[in-house]
Amino acid sequence: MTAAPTVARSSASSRPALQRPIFDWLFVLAALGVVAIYVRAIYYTPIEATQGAAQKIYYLHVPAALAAYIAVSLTALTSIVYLWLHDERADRLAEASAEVGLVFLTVVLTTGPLWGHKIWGAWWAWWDMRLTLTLFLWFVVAAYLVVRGAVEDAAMRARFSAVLGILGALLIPFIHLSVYLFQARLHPMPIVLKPSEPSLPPQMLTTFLLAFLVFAVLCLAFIRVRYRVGVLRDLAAETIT
Amino acid sequence: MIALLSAAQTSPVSSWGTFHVAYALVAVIYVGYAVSLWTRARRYRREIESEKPSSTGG
Repeated sequence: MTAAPTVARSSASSRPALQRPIFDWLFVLAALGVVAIYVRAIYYTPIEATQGAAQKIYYLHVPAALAAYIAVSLTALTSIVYLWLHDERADRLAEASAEVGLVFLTVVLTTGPLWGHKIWGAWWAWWDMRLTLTLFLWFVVAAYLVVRGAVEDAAMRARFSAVLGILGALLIPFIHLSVYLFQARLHPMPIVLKPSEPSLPPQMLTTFLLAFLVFAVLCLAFIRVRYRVGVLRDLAAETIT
Repeated sequence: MIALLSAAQTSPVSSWGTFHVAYALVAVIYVGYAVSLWTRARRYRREIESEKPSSTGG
């Protein structure tokens, strides 16, 4: 393999990034969608009989987990593209997706224990593999970002982090299937993403599906914004030379 | 199966506090991240405009 990586070498075509607003129409749309989901979940979605209002955390917790899956999967996909083509844009997109994935995983890992403490009577249980593997994924993605900050050489940084990004995404199927693989668990079996029909009442299912759509769009909007920040950072670094 | 409350019923579980904390916390995380992106973009733009090198990463 003799192809020279072209990481962090901003081209003249990146110059329009200076004029472009950092938050675009997609981000504004996603932000309005989040406000709408808050209103719908709080005021227009019924309260579950056994859990009370805490069940409404479901509309933030699960969509955030699915959005994190999307972001981390995108990191792995663009990492593969980078290792194949050595395209700096793939590396920058992988970095943007990883950082956004970490934010969504943080939402999952903060809302989950709050909900669990109320419903299960426990903030955390190490023997629940969905909890523990999600925390592992958080650490792997955090390590991915630490590696990027620690390695000076751009080509080595991109290559090392690409490998870490691909390995991290391998945890996702285990996290999702952990409720089937392990008997000892606190997490319930899937109530929407399962072979048979979802077992949520229609009003709750509508709110959940809308929340999933909105948070997936928010995830993509954050990735676009973070990508632009990466372009600006590389342009700023270019001013050294 | 998930059971619902009718409009006249009240939940046997008092979990409004947990619900409010979770919703507020999530809003803080997303808004905080958006602010961090905006701050970084502004810093890099200033560096480019003044042609000063960046001293920090990411």
